[in-house]
Amino acid sequence: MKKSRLSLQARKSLTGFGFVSLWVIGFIMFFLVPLIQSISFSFSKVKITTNGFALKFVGLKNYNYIFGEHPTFSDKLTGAFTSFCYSLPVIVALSLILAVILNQKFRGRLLARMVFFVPIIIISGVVMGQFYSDVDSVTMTTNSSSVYFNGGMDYETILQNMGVPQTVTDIMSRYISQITMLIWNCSVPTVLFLSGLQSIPAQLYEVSKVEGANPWEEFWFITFPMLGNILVVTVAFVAIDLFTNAQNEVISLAYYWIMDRQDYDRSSAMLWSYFALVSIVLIILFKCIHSFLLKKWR
Amino acid sequence: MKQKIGSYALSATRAILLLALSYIVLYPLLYMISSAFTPMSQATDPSVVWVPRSLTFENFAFAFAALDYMDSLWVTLSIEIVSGLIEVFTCSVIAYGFARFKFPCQSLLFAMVVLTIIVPPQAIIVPLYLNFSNVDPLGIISGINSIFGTNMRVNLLNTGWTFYIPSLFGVGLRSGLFIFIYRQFFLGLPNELEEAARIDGASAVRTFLNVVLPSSGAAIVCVFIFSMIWHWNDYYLSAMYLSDRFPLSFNLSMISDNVFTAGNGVVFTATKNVVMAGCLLFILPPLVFYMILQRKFIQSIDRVGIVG
Repeated sequence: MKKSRLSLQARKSLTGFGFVSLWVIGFIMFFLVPLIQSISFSFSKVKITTNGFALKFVGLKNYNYIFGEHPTFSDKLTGAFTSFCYSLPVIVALSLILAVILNQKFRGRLLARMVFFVPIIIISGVVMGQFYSDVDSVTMTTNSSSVYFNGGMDYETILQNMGVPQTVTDIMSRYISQITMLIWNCSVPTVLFLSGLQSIPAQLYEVSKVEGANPWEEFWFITFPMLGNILVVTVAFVAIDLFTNAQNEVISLAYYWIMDRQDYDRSSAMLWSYFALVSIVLIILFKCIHSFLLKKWR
Repeated sequence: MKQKIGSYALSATRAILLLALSYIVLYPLLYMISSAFTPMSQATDPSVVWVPRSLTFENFAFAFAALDYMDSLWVTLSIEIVSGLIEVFTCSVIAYGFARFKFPCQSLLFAMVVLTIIVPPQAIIVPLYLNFSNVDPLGIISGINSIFGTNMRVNLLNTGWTFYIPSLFGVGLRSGLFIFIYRQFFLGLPNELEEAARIDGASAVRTFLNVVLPSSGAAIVCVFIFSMIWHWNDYYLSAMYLSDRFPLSFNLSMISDNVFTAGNGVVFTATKNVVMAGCLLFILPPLVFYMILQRKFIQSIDRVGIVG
């Protein structure tokens, strides 16, 4: 009887590949092929014919159009990246704080978790759309949310008279005007962090109690390092969600061109140049997390 | 004494923070409840804010009819929820391969997993749709057709398979994110348990099923919740793939555009109050589901935590 004599390493890598092989097939069939087709749209002129579509190669013409001639595309692109830089740190920090609070033992914990679970159902789909089309409730999510805070007062002028510099008040008013969306976007990361917190072994906390650590030290020396893996996926989720949710200006512009104008070639050029930029930002982000945050604890 | 004051201050801060945030978080829910119970005659009355003068259930009756609730609930359960359940399992298998083994091109393949999260389904839906309307993996079916002169054509549109098959291969709705979540949790599991199982002679598959899965309760619960909610909410894919029966989410998204006939023959269009009642009917099942299961989840996680 012959038995193939593979080295242990080779056998292990073969097993690993066995686990992911299903995904590789699916990826090629249901993602890579449509992806390549859609990218090829962006380099062509697409004509819808009676049986499918016809492509004519035009090189970089579509890209020249969206970056050179389209009136608002470049502005929307920079707008998407600025609002990303503002929102990401706040969302991640706030959801971490929320998750730590909700993980504590206190009266009404179940109810509190229930409450912060509600936005996940509402924000991720059709109910949100119904709210946007409802005139009375739309004021809630867009401009008038600052009413919660200033009650009609002009807090910007007051702060400036107190000597607060213009840039600081600008940043503040930016956050305050978006506070509803910011807090709603915290719901999914909070659940992620909560699951991460619950998978930290309880023994570690017992040891730190015995050693006499205060809650602050406990957080920075146990909770935060043990959450490292979850932090990576949460940051990835928040970043991708900010970039690609349907309310994002670049995305909604591209969808409008696909759905309403049936302009597949230029909308593909928009989407693919946008996704390329987003991927670069994500790579930089991951590199930063690994070298600044996680290295300390390894 | 000092400690006691400190702990009181801590719970007071916690209570204030949670209460302040829950107002913003619950605003849409309160708005929904308020509008759904307001009779249509009072909907345009400017003196009625938040609390209507009398309560009514007629909005719910209209919304129930407009959503075609029982039939579309069945479609949601049999198509969306089933494919969500498939995803919860397959993604864990794939993620285990990425977390515990080293093989060639691994980091490239994982970067591709992240790419599937970045690219939303809307961006590749046109080619996907064409592929599903004429399924032809590796040209097998067109090969059979050209040999035997038949005109076979496999059209999976308007069936549950357009949802089940991608989920089975780990490229369904947000599968990439689920693979990512599972992988990060598996990376955090201590390796010793698996090594012990392998030394005892268990195969990789058995180790995964009997050792890894039972000790990653938090990850499974997390993915399970997200998968259920996002499948429940999906209306884009079902709008593209299905053509004669639709899930609840799609019917809710179209509720303002159609004219309906109620059970007693009354023709009506959905006013704002009916839409809000529909929204409430739509989010009720997942909320109840979460409420019932949360207690059990917390218990099971607390028990599982000892293993990790």
